Parts: sequence; structure tokens; C-alpha cells
Amino acid sequence: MAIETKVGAYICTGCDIGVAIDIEALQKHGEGELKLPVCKTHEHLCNADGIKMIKDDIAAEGLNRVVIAGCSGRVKMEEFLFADPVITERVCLREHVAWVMEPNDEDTQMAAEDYLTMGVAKMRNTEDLEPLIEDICKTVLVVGGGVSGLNSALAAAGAGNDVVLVEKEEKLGGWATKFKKVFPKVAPYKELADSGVEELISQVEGNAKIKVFKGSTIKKIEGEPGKFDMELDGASAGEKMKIGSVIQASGWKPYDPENLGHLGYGKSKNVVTNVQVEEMVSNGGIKRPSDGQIPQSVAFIQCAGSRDQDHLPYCSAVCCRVSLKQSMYIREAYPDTKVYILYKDLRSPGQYEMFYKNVQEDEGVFLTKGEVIRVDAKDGDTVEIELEDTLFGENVIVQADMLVLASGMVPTTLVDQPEEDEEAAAEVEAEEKKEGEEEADTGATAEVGAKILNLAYRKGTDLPTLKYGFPDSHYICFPYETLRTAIYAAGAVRAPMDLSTAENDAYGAALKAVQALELIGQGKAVHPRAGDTSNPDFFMQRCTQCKRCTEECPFGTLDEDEKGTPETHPNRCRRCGICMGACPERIVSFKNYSVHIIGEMLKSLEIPDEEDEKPRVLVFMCENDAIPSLDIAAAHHLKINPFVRIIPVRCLGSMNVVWIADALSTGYDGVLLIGCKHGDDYQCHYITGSELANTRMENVQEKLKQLVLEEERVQIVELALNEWQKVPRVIEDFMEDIDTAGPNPYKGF
Amino acid sequence: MLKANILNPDLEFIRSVKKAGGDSLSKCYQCATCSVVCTLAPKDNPFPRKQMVMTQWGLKEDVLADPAIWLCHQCNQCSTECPRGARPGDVLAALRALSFQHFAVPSFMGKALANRAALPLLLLVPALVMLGILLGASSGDIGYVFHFFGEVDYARAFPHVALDVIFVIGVLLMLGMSSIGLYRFWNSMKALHPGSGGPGFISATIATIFEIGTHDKFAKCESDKKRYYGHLLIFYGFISALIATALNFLFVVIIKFLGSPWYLTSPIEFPNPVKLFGIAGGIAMIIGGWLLIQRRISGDDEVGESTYQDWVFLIVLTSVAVTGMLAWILRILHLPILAYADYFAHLVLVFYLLWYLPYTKFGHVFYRTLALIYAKSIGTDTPRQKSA
Repeated sequence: MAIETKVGAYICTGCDIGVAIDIEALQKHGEGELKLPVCKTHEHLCNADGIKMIKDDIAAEGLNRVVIAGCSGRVKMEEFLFADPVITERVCLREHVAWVMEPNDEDTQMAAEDYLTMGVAKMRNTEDLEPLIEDICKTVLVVGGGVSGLNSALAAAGAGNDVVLVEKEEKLGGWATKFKKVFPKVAPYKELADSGVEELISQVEGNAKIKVFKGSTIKKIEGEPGKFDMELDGASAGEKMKIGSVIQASGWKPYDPENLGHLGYGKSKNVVTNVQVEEMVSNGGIKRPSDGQIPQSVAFIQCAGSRDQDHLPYCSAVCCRVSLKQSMYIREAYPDTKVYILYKDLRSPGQYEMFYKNVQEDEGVFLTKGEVIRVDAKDGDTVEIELEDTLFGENVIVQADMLVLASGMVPTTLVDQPEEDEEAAAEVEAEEKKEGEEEADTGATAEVGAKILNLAYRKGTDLPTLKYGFPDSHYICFPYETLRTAIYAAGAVRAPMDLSTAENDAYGAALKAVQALELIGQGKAVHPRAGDTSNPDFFMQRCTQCKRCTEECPFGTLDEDEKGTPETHPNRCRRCGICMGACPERIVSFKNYSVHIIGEMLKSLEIPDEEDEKPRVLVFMCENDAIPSLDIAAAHHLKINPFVRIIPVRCLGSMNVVWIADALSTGYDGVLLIGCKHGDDYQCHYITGSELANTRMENVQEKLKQLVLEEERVQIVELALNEWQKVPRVIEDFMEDIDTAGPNPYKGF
Repeated sequence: MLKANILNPDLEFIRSVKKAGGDSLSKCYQCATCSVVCTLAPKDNPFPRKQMVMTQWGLKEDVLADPAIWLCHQCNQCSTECPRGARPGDVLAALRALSFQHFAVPSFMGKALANRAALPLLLLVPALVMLGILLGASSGDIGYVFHFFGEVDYARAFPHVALDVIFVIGVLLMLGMSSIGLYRFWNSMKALHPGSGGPGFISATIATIFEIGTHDKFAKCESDKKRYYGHLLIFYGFISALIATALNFLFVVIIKFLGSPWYLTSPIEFPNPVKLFGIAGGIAMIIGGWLLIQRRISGDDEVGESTYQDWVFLIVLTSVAVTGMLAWILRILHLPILAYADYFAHLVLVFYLLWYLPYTKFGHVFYRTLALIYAKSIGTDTPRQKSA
């Protein structure tokens, strides 16, 4: 052991712990078998009296590790935080034992003693933390000068940070400058509003903290959060500067109307898109393109290429309101023109319902639902649209002088599909081949990105995208988050949205970017282990350059040198431990979370003999969703099998398979892994952790075969937070399988 | 089936619906709550959701020829449950009001009766006719006028033969005009809302008469019982009064003319069964009318919009009963001036009511009956079963 640890344990008897567990015996176990210099009890450890007792002991006895045996580590976090170098471990007697097991039962008592043993083992093997505290650059880079970017810049500057704003166009403002009017902003949500973007631009340009680079792009961003080196291209080519964190607000582009031939685009000049209508309004009004005449009727097809598996599968959220807005343009300019809005569903969320109602009041605006089955150009420049599945109960035809396709938004992070002409196809093929060769060489999956950020990351130049080309972030749980630490997405690049939503989004992302810099400056991790000061250490002498860690890190933390040795970037790291789970040489460890520590914990327990008929099962539970759901189950006093021993892990992806081998050779009858959902609707807080755990399970199963052990002995289960009621069942099912398999034949070896 | 599946909205029609009491029309966003809550909407052919969108799109011919607008008995549950305040019940009422105009022959009559400015003129016509009869009865005898200060004898001022002849001619003319309108209505229904799944015309007619007689559909509209009783009383009161009038005509004019000894002399006195019919009918109509007037005055949500046509019909109808009853009472009380004035008003109103029948809300007796027969004959008026 590198350092001398002095561990004291404190057993809380409150919250029914003292009722369910023989505290005296537990204390004796601590003092006796565990040989703790200090092992005390208190009826309310978390109150001032209890805290004082611990603090006095720390001072008097020189304790540097404290084990709190009481409630879940998810509560009373502040109370049990002691000054450095004291590290606290929370042994969860309440939720893992007292509330979920038969009170005063022999097995319950054993569980309590085992948990205390594991907690002490963990503390005895935990080294002092060495937070990486550096002077960092607190400049926030904002990429994109549209409404999202402008507001992000103002918000970050308002928080006191320097801001660098890079815009590729010559003028700030983005799309908002191209719209004559925007959706109503104030009650009663009837009148169209001005975007106010000019005012926003002047605020940004007049802000001393914001440095604006127009007509410029990013050539390269190198390094890690807090100390990125950026180089610009374009009008500001050659400019180099340090930046801390990044907000990507690169916005959206319209869905390519050339793909909408089935809705008449290209069949007639009089079929246009909503973006083209906006352009017409700015350039002298809406006129029929074929002859420049005022249209007597204008039809809108909603969801043109949206919510369509062959085009954009998602809803762009704004097109319905854009059509309502444009119908107001038309009706105001030409009171005799009829407007037909043909929709799948008309979506005008929130207060915009008032806007919809207002447009509906206009008797010259006709709305109906239906699926477009045919669009044809007719003589005399009219366009004919046929609908099926209509509200009229039969197919209907609408004829109009002009047809507007209300098409959707595509994130700028989406890489355009290659052209389909032969030459390009051949080129692509060649490229793919080349890539394939590279892949065979290095195992790398170099991503052809949108080339916006041009990150010098081994795992690609831009934010990874998952669904539909949006830079991934769990849009409900973790808005603005991306797969790159301290790089946040704001506005329409993150999800389709309107201008006022983009404004709100900008504030959210800006606060994230500022917060990230504050935490990094203090050597702390950002979401989801915000505040964690541990860092992964790599024992490079034993590295075999297998590159698993570099590849499997979801956050692109690790680059590599020519030999393939990982290059660490602590500030890119989220401390999930996936690298630790990946490493076959087990060279990655945290001071307070390592292959060794967990190994010591599981080996510290006495496994009952076969004759005792008391099976032992080890459960590795993800701290993000599985442990909280167990806490909820415990609060409802659901009963948990007393033969399981739970070890929380940072992510199932951090689980090193050697733990399973250790557990089975130590005599545990089975190992159960409970983690988050993976796949398309993943809930893993580290995106790929639970998926990686599943992949690794395949190796585990092979190992089991070699050892002639039943494959049921190691299982992996997905559990969402709201499935807390299933926790006892999940464990019970596993115990039944273990019962069938019988005791571990390696018991006692 | 739409008349033309190329939608070409008739803005004029939309405006006229809004003006006729359907001003909430454009609020509809087609959620179909109305069709779900309606206790009368047939299972396979629910209304009024579809009629709302047809009206919003100005499909005049299609919606006015839709028998569904007549299947509605306007309990207005749809209007009270509508999440958007689109008041489908009121819109359907407006559509029905517009039907009288749309199918009217001659068409100017339809317009005139919907126009409140034309009311004095429309009342003047029967008033002049009555004055003409009065003048004819006096044969230019100035002294005849003094008769009004003596014994009350309505038949002397307005001889039965003259009244009845003019009345019958007017009614026959009205029926002729109605027939043309109804014929057009029937053909429109057949062309635009075809179907063949019903029991045929004869059974449908029997079923319709039975339904009207029992007021079965009114009873199903649960939200407003006052209207059910009001309409029931007026309906049977009117029939009763009609029978009394017809018997009066039979016994006082026809039978006397035929020289039979069974004839009666006017006035027929209490407690002759003919008189009893008349009194019973009058009382029923007054009570029913009062219930309905009170209901409309209350302005409750389920009552809906009360338009000019609603009021004028209800007031004229009730006034006919009131003046009728008063004529009898004032005669017994020997108040000649009041009695004659009242009787004059009574006659004017009766003529107004019956001569103009197809152009006023009264026209519903024909249109609704025909629509019900049609809907039943093609099997689209099969009410859904209430879930147990």
C-alpha cells in the first residue's frame, strides 16, 4: 500500500437501522474482525452531534478514511464530506439491508456485516486523491452567429467569461435576418413579431467581452478543455488563440427540395419551399413564379419530406407555424387570395395554439387533414394536389396557383449524401475502400465529419452524431450535452426549433460551457459525475498498445502516439471508467476506484460453505439508474433477497471482466450486472457503457465455458429508473437460476 | 360523395353561415368530440364533425343536401363539450336556416323571410287581405261599422266562406311551392348522399312518423328536457288546434253547404268537442311556447344562438295560440273592440304562419321529415346502441 490508511467506522442506528440489525454485534464485528481503531454508533449520525463526534475523532485519532454505515450515499452528501485528506465511504445499511430484509434475521445480520467489511476494504485500499488543478483559459468559443450563437455569446459574456464568436458568413444574425416576421412573441399571440435580431447583433458587437470573427471558419481545435488551441481560417486565417470551452451553434439548413419530386418540386415553377417564400417576401412580395402574377390561391403541404421514413423521419417543430405565418403574409397582402393548408397534423405547441386559432378565424384560410398522393402541374400554371384519407371521407383535389412545400430542418452537422452520378459514386467507392484499408490497419473508424469544429481528436473532427445527424445528446435528460466534454450544442443544430426556443437553448448551453470551465479549473469532472476529483491513471509501462481504451472511450478522451500508446487528456474525461473496464492489462485505475479496490472488496467477504446452504451472489449495479431505483424500491420497503451483495459501479462499462473471474474463483455462486438500457433508446449516462458491457459479456460466457460453469451464473439486466418495482423480481429471478445451477463448484478452493 | 372532388370554397356561403348564427364555425379543428358526444349520431355515419369541415370549406351544395343536418335535434351537447368553442350545434342550426332559403321557390321569398327588414311588409300582406275580407263583408255599408260596438260576432266581420276559401287557396299555393323545393331537396340528397342499406321508402316513412309522434329523438337529447316538453306540447297543441279548425270548417261550412242537419253554427260553444280540441290545443301551445321562449331568454349554453328566424317563428306560433284563446275569452267577456282587434291579429298571424311556412323555420316540418325519411330509407340513421 502506497499510503497509510487509518479507517474509522460509524454505524447509524436511526431510520429503523437499529431496529432491523443487531448493532452491538455489528460494532463488535468492526472492532474485532475488522480491527478498526474506531468503530462507534450513533442514533442520528447526520445531526450536528453525530458529525461533531466524527470530526472530533478525525482530529484526535488522525483518521483519514471514514466509513459511514447508514443511509444511501445519494442522500446527506454534504453532511458527510470532511476536509482533505479524509475520504468518506458510505455503506448503505438502510437501503441495502435494513429496509429490504427481514429484521433481526441471521441473514440480515450477515449482510450488514458484509457491507461494513466491504466498505472498510474499499477505504483501506483507496489512495489519496490528487485533483488536477491548473490555471485554465476561461474563454468560451461560440461557433455560429445566428440567434443561438448570439444569445450564447451574450449569456457567457454576461457570466463574466471572455467570448470568441466565429461566423462563416460576412454578417451576423443567421436565418433570423432572412425572415420578414417571426412567430408572435407576446400575449395574446395573435400578431407576428419582429425578430429583433438587429438589436441582438449590435449588443454582441458592442460587447467588450465578445470578440467577433466574421467570414471565418475554424481550421483546427487542438488539445483539451480549458486549454484548447484554436486556429482560424477564412477572413481571419492565421489567427490563433486559446479557448476553454465550446458552444456549437452552427444551426440548420433546409431539407433539400430536390428530394421532394413526389410532392411536385421541379414539376412546375409554381412549386416552391417555405424558405423560398420567405425569400420572395423579402424581395418584393409573393408572386407566382411562372408569370409574376398575384396568386389567387396558394396551397401549403405540411410535413413535406418530414415525418417520412424515406426523408426526414422527425418533425421539424416549426413548419406548421411557418405556414400559418406565411398564410398571414399572403392574406394581408392579397385579401382575395385563398390559402389552403393541407396537413398531417397541425402542431402549434404551447401558447402558439392562440396563433393557430387566430389564423383559423380568417375565413380565407382553409385547413384540412389528408395524405398527399399526387401533385401535378396543370394547364394554366395551376398545381393540382390530390389527398387521400381526408376529413371529407373521400379523396379530394385542391387546385392552386402556387404550392408551398413546408419542408423541414436539417442540422448542419449532417453530412450531405454523396451525389448519385457515376463519377462521384466511383469516387466514394474508392474512398470507402481506402478507409476500409485504414480500418484494417489501425482499427480506427475515422469519421467523415461536417468539418465545422475540426477537432484534432483521434476519434474524429466533429461532434459524433447518432440519430438523424444531430450531435448526440439525450435531449430529455441531458440537453446541450454532446459526446465531447466541454463542447455543447445549442439551437437548431441540436434539435429542430424556432427562434425563441433557440434563445432559451443558448442560455442553457452557455451556462453549461461556463460551468464546465469552473469545474475543470477546480480539477473536477463535469456531468454526470460533476465534482468528482478522481482521475484515471495509466500505468504506461505495461501498456500493450492494444488501443481498446482509446477506441472505447465514448468521449474521445484519448489520442495516441505513433506507437499507439494512449495520450491522456484529463480535461476531456468524464471519469466513467470505461477505459478501466476495457483494459486487458488492467493498467487503468482511479485512486478511489480500481480493479484492485473492487477486487479487494469482493474478496474481503467470507463465503459460506456449501453445507450452509447460503448462496452468495455479487451484484454490480450502475450508480446512475440501477442504484437509485434500488433506493426507491427500498423506500417502498420491497423485499430483496438477503444472499446478494451489491457493489455500485460508475458505469457497467467500467466493469473489468477480471472481477467476474475473481468472484467466481472466490466462491460466489453468480454475478449479476444491472445497468442502463442501451441501443437506440439508450439511457446510459455514458452513452455506450452498458452496450460495451454487453459486448464484453460474450467473452465472459466463453470464459465460463472454459471453466465448465453454467452460463446462467453471469447475467446482465437492463433497468430503468422508473422500473424500481422490478428490482426484487430481477434479483429473485437470478437467484432461481443460481438455485437451479447449484453451488459454485469452485467454492472453498 | 362530394358534388365535385375538386374543392372550390364558396366564401359567400361561409359568410352566410356565420351570419345565420354559425359565427363560431371557423374555430373547429376537427377533433370529433362532437360526433362522439352526440347521442343521435349514427354509428357508421356520425355527425356533425364532417358537416363542420364541409362548411368550413364552403361546400354549400354538399352540406345543405346532407340529411345529417336534419338528424340533429340541437340539444347542443356538442357545443357545450367542444374544446374549441366551435359550437357545432349552432352551425347546424344555421345550415338548416339556410336550407329554407336555398331550396325556396320562389327564391326571393326565402330571402325575404330571413330578412328582418321585410317583416312589416310580410305582415302587411295578410293584414290587407283581412281588411279586404272585412270590406267585402261590409259591402260598402257604413252603418256596418257600428256593428262592432254591439254583439261580438267574428263570422259577421270575417265570413267563414271567404276566410276559408282564401286560406285554402294560399295553403294550396304554399304546398305547391313547398313540393318543388322539397323535390329539389330530395334529389340533392339522392345525388350527393346516396346509399342503399335501408328498409326502403315505405318502412322509413312509417318509422319517421312513429319517431316524430313519440318525439323519440328529442327524448334522447339528454342535456335539455325543457325543450323536449316544450316541443311536444306545441306539436300536439298545434295538431289539436289544426283539427279543431278543420272540424270547424267541416261542420260550419261544408256540412251546412251540403244541407245536412249535422251542421253547426259559428261560434261553436263550449263544451262541444270541437271547441274542446281548440281550447286544449291552445293551452298546450301556450305552455309549450312559454317553455321554449323562457329557455331562449335564459341564454344558457346548451340553448345556443337564438337568431331572428328562431325568435320570429317562436313568437308568431305562440302568439297564434294566445290570440286564439283571447278571441274566445274576449268574446265571452263582451269586449268587442278588443275582441275584434285580437281576432284580426290572430288571423294575420295564422296566415303569416301557414302561407310562408316553407320559407320560415316552420319549414322544418317538411324538411326534417323528408330528411329523416331519406336517411332511414338508405339506412344512415341507425342510432348507435348505448353501451350497457
